[in-house]
Amino acid sequence: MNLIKLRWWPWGVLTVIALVILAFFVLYPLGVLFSNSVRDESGALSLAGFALLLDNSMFVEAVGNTLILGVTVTALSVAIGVPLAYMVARYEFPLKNLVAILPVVTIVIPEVIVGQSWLLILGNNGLVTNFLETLGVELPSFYGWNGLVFSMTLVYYTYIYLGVLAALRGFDGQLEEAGLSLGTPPLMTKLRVLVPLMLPAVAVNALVVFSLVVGNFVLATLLGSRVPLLSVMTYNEFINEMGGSPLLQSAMSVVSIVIVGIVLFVQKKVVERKLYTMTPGRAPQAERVRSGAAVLFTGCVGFIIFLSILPLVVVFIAAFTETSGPVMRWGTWSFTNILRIVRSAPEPIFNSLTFASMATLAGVVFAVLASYLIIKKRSLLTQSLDYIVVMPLTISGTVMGIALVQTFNTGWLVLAGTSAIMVLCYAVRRLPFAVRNASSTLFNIPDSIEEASISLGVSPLMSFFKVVLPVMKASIVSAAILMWVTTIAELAATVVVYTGGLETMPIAIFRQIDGGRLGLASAYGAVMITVILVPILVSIKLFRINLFSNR
Amino acid sequence: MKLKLPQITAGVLFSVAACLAQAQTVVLYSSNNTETIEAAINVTKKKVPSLNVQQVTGGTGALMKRIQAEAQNPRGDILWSGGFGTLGAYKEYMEPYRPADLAAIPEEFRGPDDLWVGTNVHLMVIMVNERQLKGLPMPKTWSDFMKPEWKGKFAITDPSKSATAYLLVYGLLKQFGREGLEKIAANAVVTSSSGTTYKGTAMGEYAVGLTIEYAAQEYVAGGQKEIKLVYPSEGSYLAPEGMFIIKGAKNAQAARAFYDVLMSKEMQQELLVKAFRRPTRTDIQVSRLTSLPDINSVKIFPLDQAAASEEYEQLVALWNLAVSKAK
Repeated sequence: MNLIKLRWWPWGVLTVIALVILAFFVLYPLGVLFSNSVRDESGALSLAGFALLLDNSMFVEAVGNTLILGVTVTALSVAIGVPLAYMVARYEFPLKNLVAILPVVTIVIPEVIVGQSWLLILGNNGLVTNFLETLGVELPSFYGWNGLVFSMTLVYYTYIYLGVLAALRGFDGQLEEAGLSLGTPPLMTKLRVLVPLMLPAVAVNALVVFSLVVGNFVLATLLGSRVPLLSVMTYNEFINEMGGSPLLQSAMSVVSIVIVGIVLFVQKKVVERKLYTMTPGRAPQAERVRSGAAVLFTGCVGFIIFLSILPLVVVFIAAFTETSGPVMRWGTWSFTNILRIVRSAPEPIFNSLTFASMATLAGVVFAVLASYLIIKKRSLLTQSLDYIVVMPLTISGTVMGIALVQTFNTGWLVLAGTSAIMVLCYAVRRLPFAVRNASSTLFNIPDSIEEASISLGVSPLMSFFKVVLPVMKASIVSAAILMWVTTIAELAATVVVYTGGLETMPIAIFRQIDGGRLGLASAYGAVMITVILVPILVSIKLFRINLFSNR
Repeated sequence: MKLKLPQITAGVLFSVAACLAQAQTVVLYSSNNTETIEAAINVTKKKVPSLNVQQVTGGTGALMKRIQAEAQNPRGDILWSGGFGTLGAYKEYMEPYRPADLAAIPEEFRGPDDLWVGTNVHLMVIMVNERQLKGLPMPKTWSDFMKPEWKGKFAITDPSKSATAYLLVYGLLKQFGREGLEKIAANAVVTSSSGTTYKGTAMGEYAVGLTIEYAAQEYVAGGQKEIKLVYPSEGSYLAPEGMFIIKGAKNAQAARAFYDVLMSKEMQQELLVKAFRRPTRTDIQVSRLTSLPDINSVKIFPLDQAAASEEYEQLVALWNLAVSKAK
């Protein structure tokens, strides 16, 4: 009797509660989505939705375009990310330390701002476009493929870069030395030793990039008005006031989940077979490069950093530029737009802060509990918890939003149209990241310290609060900050679940861009980036937390 | 007369108390852009200082859905503004109100049973980016766009994505029949929001956009010289927009006061000058206050707003068919 009680209380019960919550807010909505995709109006099973989609030439084109875009952007991201990582890991050159800001710049700057600023620079009425036109050079249109590929590559190459960099730093330099001492020429050694070892890191991150591109809504809708893409089409089907049929939007959502699902499956099969286990060794010393090569290296890296950081600069300039309605008067300065949003329309700022804080609180509490259960209280139940927790990763924001709205629109729990659905949506979307962040330190906490506390008579629950939590503090703070920051910038799901009065900053930016008010959009952008950067800087300076160490 | 300190104090206290007693909150649901709402609130502050306007913003569709969801316990008081077609579909959520000044607004811009009143009226025009014409002649009217040389050069918004675009396509159908509409659809670039059409034209993505007058005028007023407005010689279409008091509004009295302000002459003049919203009132002379022509000097092809919204599904289906045929 006592034994069973000990097993179930408290962790068994908590595991069950966590599972029930996840099942209700993750599995159930997905189930509704899948079931809606195979039901006709009378509720009978039918594949009519998918048949309609296959019949629609525009949809087939959109799927094709999405796949082409995914492959192109992934290939280009690898082409930039891998050499960049190699240069940084292996060579020492002037200004190299600047690359440390890259992850902050590209991962934290919201996509909506990246897209908007490139429009300000290279759009048809952009700064560079207009300047070149006075010189008689006509740039190809930035709308469509050019802009999509360009801006998405600049947003996503960091994922490859960070992954490969980590792999290179954990690489044992002696392997290469061994190759060389056996008489293999240097280039051959690199190809035979380095490439196979880097391949898994490249493959894993390339697939992350691919799934992000497939799910990308923000840049796709800002820049791709002439290129039909799956994510935008799904969203349009959803907002179509009169004709928006749940059948079609569900079927489209299912298609995008299936695409990412297939890709993940392939990743597991291919990558796991090629995985080498390697004892982490001493990474080779970075080699100092001189004169010509140094200029070249600094130039290359500097150029990439410049392109990555340019959106930030442009947004701040535009926020303080005088405007007349939609027309920007470059070179003249004014506070009008900043004052206008702070004074007349501060609502989105408050909304963003409130929703993000509530979602972060809920998400982090859940993530801490879930990661503790998954890592420290392994059982069949916690293993299924582990699987469900990462599921939102495979679902794009738009699709997640649609699933939640369809599920909680009617019935005994109506959340659609309230702020609760925004908070829920954010919490669920960022859960996988929060769990991953929270678990990073748990691996390093020996079970013995907790056991010691329990054997001294402190109850398991109290031991968790008094012993485990304090040790986890750093990772909890970093999980919270990352969740808060990415939630504030969330647009793809927000645009589906929000209703009037619940506008967030990204929605305000999105609406101002749609109405042609780039000045006002930039003002919101500047406020949003400030709100995002402040906690990051504080955490780095005050708590000395490296937010990106475990990405 | 000499006032003593106690009397002054009493006077001041009295007026403060009066102010507090009168300060009324009204919750505005609005789909208008930030600058337009700001201009409206500034006029309100001048006309009725005791009104405290709280705004909730969003697209017309999103706000209507919100009103519907809150019907049991309304949290908004007034909606400003939506196209007449959209308003007609939400009659059950409106509180009738007959403002004293109603006579200033012509019958055609009033809702049935005093449910809503038109605050402004959009004109559908041809917005031209002269720099992008590149040899094409300046278009004069709708039927120009049936000619093959315009293929891919002009943008039109998907009628299912925008109330004004819907009215434009409806007008084209009524004026030129199915055949004419199909010819235009075959040549057009179809965009998925009104914003994309006028922004794209301003930015040179399209040489021409068939769009709303005020949106095009903003670029002209902003100093973008290559943008020109053409009022089609075959007749422009009107798309009036109106406001209504939400049924069961908590601040009904303040809502009525705000309603009166929103339809007042000062308000409509200010919104015309600041945001190029064409007034519904007959006592404002547009050409004197802006560079826009008076409505009676523009040829209008009349449309029945109520019939337009009734034919919604047929028209959208017809349009989708026409577009897919052209592919």
